[in-house]
Amino acid sequence: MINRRDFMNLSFTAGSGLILGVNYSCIQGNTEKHEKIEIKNYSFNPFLELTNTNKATIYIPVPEIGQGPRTALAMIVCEELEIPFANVSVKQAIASTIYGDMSAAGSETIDKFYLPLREAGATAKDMLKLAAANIWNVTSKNLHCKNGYVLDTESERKLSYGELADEASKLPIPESVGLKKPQDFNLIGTKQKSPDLRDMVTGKAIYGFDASLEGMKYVSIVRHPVREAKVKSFKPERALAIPGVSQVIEVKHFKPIPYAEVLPGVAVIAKDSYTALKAKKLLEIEWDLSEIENEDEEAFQNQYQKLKSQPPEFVLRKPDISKIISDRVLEFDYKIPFWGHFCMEPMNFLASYHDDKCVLIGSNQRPNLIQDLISKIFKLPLENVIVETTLGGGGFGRRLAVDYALEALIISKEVGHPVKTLWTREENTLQDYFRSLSYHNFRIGIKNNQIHSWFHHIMTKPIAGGPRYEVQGAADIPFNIENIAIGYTPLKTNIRIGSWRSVSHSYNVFVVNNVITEVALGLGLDPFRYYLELLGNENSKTIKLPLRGSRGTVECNLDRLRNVLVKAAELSGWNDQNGKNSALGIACTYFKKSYAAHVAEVIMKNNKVRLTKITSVLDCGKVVNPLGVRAQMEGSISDAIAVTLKSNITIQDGQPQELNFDAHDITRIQDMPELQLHIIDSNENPSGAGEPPFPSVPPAIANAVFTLTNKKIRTLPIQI
Amino acid sequence: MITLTINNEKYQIDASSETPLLWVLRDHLNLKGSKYSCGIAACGACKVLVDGNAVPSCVLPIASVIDAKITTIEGLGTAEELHPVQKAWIKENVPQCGYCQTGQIITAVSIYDKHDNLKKDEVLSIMNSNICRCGTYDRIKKALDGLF
Ligand code: FES
Ligand code: FES
Repeated sequence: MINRRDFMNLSFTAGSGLILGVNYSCIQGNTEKHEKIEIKNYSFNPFLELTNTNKATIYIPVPEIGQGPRTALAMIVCEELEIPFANVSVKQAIASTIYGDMSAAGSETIDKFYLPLREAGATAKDMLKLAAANIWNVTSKNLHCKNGYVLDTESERKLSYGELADEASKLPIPESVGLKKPQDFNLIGTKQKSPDLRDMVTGKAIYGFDASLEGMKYVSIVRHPVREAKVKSFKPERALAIPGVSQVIEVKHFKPIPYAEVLPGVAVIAKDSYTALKAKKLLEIEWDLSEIENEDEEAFQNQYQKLKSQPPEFVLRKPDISKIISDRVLEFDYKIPFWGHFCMEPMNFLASYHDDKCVLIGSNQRPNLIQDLISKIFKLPLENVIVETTLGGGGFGRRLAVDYALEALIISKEVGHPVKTLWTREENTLQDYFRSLSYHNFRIGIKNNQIHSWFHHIMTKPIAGGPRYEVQGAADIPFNIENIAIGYTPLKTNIRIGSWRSVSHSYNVFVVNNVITEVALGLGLDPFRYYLELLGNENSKTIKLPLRGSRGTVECNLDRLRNVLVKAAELSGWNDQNGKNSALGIACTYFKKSYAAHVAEVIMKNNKVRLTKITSVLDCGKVVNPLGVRAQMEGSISDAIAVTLKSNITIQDGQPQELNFDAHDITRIQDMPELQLHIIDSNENPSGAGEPPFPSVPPAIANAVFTLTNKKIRTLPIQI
Repeated sequence: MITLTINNEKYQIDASSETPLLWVLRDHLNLKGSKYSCGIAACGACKVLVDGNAVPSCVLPIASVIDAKITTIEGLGTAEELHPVQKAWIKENVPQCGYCQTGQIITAVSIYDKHDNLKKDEVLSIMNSNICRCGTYDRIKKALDGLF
């Protein structure tokens, strides 16, 4: 960790007009003309530039994939800087180690940047104040900042930040700065719209797919639907005969790290997208299929049957077995399928390798990884690898893998000019990093009409070796149950897997919550009240797991968890249920430092089950931008409807089967029920909102369906 | 050479007649507001107005729209005054990633500009042809509420 002062110093290049970032979608909003005046830029720190014309530019390190950092992070700087949000323009920072970890991952953006950005704003504000004090020859203590001005209240003088920028930027960076008290916030907590809104509704916003470089050509690649296939030979002649096709080259399998696996194939390079897409159909490729395993769903099921009869390979929680004497044991077996990311914008990247300098432009979730990896692979200094992040048409974890960026650069290097790769929707699914298929075996011991022992054996294909990202939401259950045993065994499959919104919470929270409701109803108890009982009376709980780092010590604030659960029950009218033809289902979870609960309402109409309403309660600490948080809650619900009621990925002959939106429909507008969203008013430190509201939605829906139909749900999507 | 009328301008296009309009817009004319997402007319991201009807341009051969009046997202409203649908989208802060919104807006414009007095559920059933992977539907509904 670099200290704050070093950090602020790192790019302190006053007056240099240092270019730290790219300005994709704000070009339009920023064309105001200052004839006669020469505009000078002053960089105060890596996040902030001020001009002599009173404009502020805020550099956003975290990629925008729809989760809102370009709004929320800019708001945080503006709050401390005391500058109107409408006065700033927002630029996407290019990849740089200055920012630390820039990735859009784990719903950690706000948590990670809240303090550094407040300090960035406050530091600049103090310097501007001191500059004014020097000019007026007073002490800066009596000066105030407001709306982009330093004010001397006594003499009613004021100077704009623009007027002070030059002077201020020459001052030493203060050793320490004071931050505003949360009760004095006037921007954080207010509803702010995205700075990219106008560009998005006028078609001007630039996504990876839209970026271009002088001299670039378009690339489309034929790969085999099964990952282990290799190119034996190919005939490029018919493709090359198409006017506009300049080259056909082989792309070799290359896997420097799992999250950057370039798959083998044959690439067509052409003057435009359509020519590339058309010509690739004419390639004749002979594949080496000797290493293919014809995996299918039946093989997975057989694997599960075998593994569940054996003790788990890894034990995460272990009770004292001698004490477990239950009246009876209930067994549950779940299969939660593979899911694809289906980002609206399919993978693509623009890359140029020229004279040992690389430029990579596109939407991604991990600018640093791209830069670092490419600098290592091609043995180039970091500064020779420029990574520009455009707006991204969705991410959901898919763009944490950087295979597609590496692939584009390898091709550019070979053909000697900039290239833009474009993946079709089908390729996007075939070459996805799916959320792993998971199996779950539960044995729930009942004694004195309550859960006395809880055994949960989780099986997934691990993202990294053993259980690391696979057990959260299950191993860390904070329940008041005497005997908890959690085990994990890796599944074996060649299917490529990765992170998907909320990672293991996405399946574990589902099965855990479904078990609770089923057990409660089976015991004749109210699921909500029984859930509260399971959460006990303690204020918080620390769960120790044999995992490295923060995953090994998990804190659950039970007050906050109970609070969201109670609120969701109350708002949904849990206690006033009376319908014969309707039912409610409830679920909750915590995800890092955020807490969420959901109640779903379903009705029976013409013998069909319909989802009519979702109540969603989220506690993510202090909310920076309520509009952004609400959007994430809505998006979580939409995602949940897709995976609970509409779609999944199945494997036949080693190949994913549902490749496009015809076979893999996702939530559409008519699928959306009435929403009731509630964000807990809190002064706790801000925490994530992108993933936390997702995991408890699918089980809330499933629990409602079970309550209504009494049909046990053991896999997804539910056929209703 | 094929002549197309797009956003009230005539363009000479040097592309084979079966080329889908989407790629001509994006690669030949640098009109990149229309997006590629599924390529099979299943998501609506690439929609444009053809004589006022919202149609997916990813499967629309340019030969079939030679005599048509084509409007893309770039051709809606004017620099001074956005189309009422765009304004409603801004008011409700509809987009998340924004990638699907061209198609959403084009579909809503095709309904709005026809003044057919459709009922709410009829409007929704037309909007159902557009996918939003981010799940902005609730805000789309609010924007539509202000329009219809
Ligand atoms: S890209 Fe044309 S409908 Fe999906
Ligand atoms: S806003 Fe992202 S797909 Fe609709």
